[in-house]
Amino acid sequence: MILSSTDWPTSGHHCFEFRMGIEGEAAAAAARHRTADDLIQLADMVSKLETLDASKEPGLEEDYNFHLCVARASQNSFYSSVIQAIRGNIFGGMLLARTTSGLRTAEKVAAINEQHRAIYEAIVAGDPDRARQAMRYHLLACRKSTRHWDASVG
Amino acid sequence: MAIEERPPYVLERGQSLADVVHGQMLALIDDGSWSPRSRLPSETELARRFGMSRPVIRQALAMLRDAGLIQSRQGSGSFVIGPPDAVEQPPEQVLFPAIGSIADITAFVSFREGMEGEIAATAALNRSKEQLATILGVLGRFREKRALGERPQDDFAFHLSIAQATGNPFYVNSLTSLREQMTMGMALIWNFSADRADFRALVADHHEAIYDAIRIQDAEAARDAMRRHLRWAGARILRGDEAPATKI
Repeated sequence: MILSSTDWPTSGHHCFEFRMGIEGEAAAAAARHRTADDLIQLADMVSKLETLDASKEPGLEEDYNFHLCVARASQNSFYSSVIQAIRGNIFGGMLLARTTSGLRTAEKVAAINEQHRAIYEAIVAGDPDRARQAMRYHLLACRKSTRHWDASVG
Repeated sequence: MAIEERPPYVLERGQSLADVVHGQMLALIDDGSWSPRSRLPSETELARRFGMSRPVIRQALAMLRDAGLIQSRQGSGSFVIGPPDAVEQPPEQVLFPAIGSIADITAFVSFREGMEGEIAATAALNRSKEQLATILGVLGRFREKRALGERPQDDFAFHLSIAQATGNPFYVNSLTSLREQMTMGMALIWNFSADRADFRALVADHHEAIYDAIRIQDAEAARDAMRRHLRWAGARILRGDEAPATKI
């Protein structure tokens, strides 16, 4: 998948590019090394995100925890160190991705939930390539949905 | 004076009042009520609105500040940084674990393979002519005779020049944060090799393969060459000379 930088919004460009690289690899490592405990935690987080009432709760903390949990499931603390260091950037990115001119739409939240579940399922299946791809796809989708910010904030 | 009616807060296990206020503040940023670059009300005013004490408000604000969502300026209060600004400021430093065991080395080696493979692929797509020239300049050192003690720094300079060619400060800062662990591993490998000419030539071959892929902007080949080089280097640390001298 080759992306030309001119096709993409500048908001969060570097952050999402970095996250696709790092978190894609973390997800692949998680599919190889996850423990039974990790799977229970990840399952919990995915269903928690699915049952949040998206019109009332932003679910940012839950979303962040899902990404941190994937990194931890790699059993490699170098990956989780990065996720912790960019906590603020991830929150900022989620605000960008989850809102459309300030409004969170139900379809958007449903799509994000589906992407999280696909990552989780690839990790359960122990399929590194699928986990990497699912994570990259999720972050690419988030990056695309930040477009409106460029028009509104510039 | 009107007294605002508030439902009693039901705290979940492990949740503090500051967490509740923090969540409500996030929702205000999220729905645009607190828009990017706007100034927040004073602490006293916030305490009144949320029906909480000022220490609780201060704690919640500190959480927003830690997450990079607001900025406080002496004398003029707090401002919403706004996601577009907050999201592109990379952390100055990533606190990576120190290496204290063989298990740590294994984790470190596989993390480098993951991260630097992506760095090489991104550099292939984004590098400028100038950045390419910088990589080439560092590359030349590996064909030269140099003091053994300089090799780890040269080696690090090569990997850093590629991170810089991504044009992405998140990658540059992450790699710089790994400098100590990287140069430690590199010193081990170079010392084991005693800077023999065949070893030097092999490292130069590896590095040139990475450079060539970046030069022709082949992201897949760059990722692949970097990953193979690092897998070889990792095996070299863990198994020494027995590691097969893979040709690239």
